[in-house]
Amino acid sequence: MKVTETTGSDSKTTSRIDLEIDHLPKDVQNDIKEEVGEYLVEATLLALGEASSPVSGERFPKLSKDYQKKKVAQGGSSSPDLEVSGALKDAIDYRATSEGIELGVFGSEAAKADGHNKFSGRENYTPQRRFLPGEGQTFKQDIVRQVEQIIADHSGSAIQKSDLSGVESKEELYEALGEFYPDMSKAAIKAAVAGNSDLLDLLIELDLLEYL
Amino acid sequence: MAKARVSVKLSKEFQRKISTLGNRLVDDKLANQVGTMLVEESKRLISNGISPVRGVGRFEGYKNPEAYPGNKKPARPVNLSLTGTMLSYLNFKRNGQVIEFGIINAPAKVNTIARVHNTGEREDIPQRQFIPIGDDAGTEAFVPSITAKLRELFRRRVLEILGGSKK
Repeated sequence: MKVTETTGSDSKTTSRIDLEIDHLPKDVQNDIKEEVGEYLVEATLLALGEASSPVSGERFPKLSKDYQKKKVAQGGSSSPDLEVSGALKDAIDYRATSEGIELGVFGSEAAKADGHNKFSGRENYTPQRRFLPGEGQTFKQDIVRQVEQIIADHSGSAIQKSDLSGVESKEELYEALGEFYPDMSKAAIKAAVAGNSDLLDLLIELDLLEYL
Repeated sequence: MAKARVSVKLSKEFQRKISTLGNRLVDDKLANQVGTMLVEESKRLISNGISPVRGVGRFEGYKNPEAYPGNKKPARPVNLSLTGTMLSYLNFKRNGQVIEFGIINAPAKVNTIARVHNTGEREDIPQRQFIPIGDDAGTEAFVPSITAKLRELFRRRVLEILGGSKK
């Protein structure tokens, strides 16, 4: 997973993320993009709720005393959770792209989001509180791990009966599965398969489950 | 009543297969793990104003925050909690191979409040669904973080069962 481009403008403030799944069939890619997109929106909102960034290496500076007083008077909390009316957080969303997803804020709250993320370089004299990864940046480890697991869990759905024809041993099974789970250990492949009910059914049908 | 029956959509074939290995997928341990996780993660999401139900997103804001919640609590995030009574009944119980999750064993008044939030049946209170509706809510009825945790718990159980069979 890597950020290929960022945009900061009055109409959108986003990070384009390549999920590196173009080796998978289109329908599986679409499922992955949908689930990863929804997950990253959720993970971003949860991090902001705790007044922290979902981006590795980023921290949110405390609010100034003056702004803190003003924010509380308006019904917000005293922490830098980027929420008073809720409009900015309500606008965090994603779009599917050819290579993955575009995560960020689309529409009227985009300028405000850019003010926090500083993608455009425009100065608004507020501290950086980046909640979208920039180029070269990544999400925190637990978020990255979860995205990788989502991709692994869905990858098994690409496997057809014909991909496993002729398999007659444990070694042959893992060799065939390895084509769909590149760079993964046997234990990781086994775990991924165990999380995919379609693939488990296929293995049962072909009487290969015990080789797992 | 605001309650969902949560099950993993495993085929009858798979259920039959693992039963021949001397096991049933949902045992007491798995039911407790799943139920506990659903309650904890749902509360965590709800406290951040996010519905645990897929497709709902953040809970809609209050129509007149000065009137409600006024000074009682911050107007955002909307967290379905004032005294904490309703969410204290968010719980689970095992029913065979299915886990029931929702507002359980609650007084009538609490059930009504939960139902109003979940269904949006009152015009003056926006729908803020926090429990999947329907008789049979599969793992995909929940947001991705919960779905991923459900898959992980079921994955571990499947691996545990498979670990006992050799070929």
